[in-house]
Amino acid sequence: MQLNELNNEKLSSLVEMIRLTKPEELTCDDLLAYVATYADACVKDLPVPVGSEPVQQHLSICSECMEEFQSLVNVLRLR
Amino acid sequence: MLKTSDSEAIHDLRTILIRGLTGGLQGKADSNLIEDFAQETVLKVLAGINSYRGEGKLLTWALAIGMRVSYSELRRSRYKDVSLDAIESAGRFAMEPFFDRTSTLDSADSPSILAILKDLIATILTPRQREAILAELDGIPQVVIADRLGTNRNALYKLGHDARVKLKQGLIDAGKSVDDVRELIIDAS
Repeated sequence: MQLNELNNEKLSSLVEMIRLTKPEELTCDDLLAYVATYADACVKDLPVPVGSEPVQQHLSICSECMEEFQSLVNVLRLR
Repeated sequence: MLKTSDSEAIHDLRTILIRGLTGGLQGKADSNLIEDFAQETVLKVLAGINSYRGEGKLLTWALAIGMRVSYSELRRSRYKDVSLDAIESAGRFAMEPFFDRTSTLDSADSPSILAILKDLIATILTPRQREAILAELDGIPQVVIADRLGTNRNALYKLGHDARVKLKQGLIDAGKSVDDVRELIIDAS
């Protein structure tokens, strides 16, 4: 994509990502170390585990990790 | 050498993964592919077991890795025939200020805010940061972008994060907050 093809929809996505950006973030690999605890809590409707903010922040910004997380939660709910 | 009990545990893990991935992928992959994904996941779990932090259930952690493995391969497969141009073109445009006055996002109140953001993308990002950000906005999966940039998804995320931090600071330095830009987009939509 060229810069002049950056339409309103894409610009809006970028702005939202910039808005959510923190100086320090979990990477996609970092997320794997923490996501099990968070997913287990979501499935059991338990309170959000202490220290989950970086997990939530990464999921809010990384649509691919979010897609994987949602599939994980769906599976855990079936078990 | 694996003990019998280890072999049984691995067999059980593979079985659970196949069942979990079949449910989680909801028809996105056939049974042969899912068996391959499960096998690759078992190898990754065994290789990474020492890094398992003991947080959350082990099977949840293994399933999370299984989802990562499966979706990565499915995304690669979906884009295997897509031209390189979609990614490479993003890094080719001139590194000079870019002022587009034709966008509907420009208004009398904020005539330059979109131009500032585009200008920042054009001038303060490195070519690789620009390629990564623009390709991702174009909906190209991270694993595909990473493969073509000769890196991996984790490093690509860091590249994109560094770019977002720069853009955020650039907007602040230009006297614009991200909320200013966001408000303008909402008004224009």
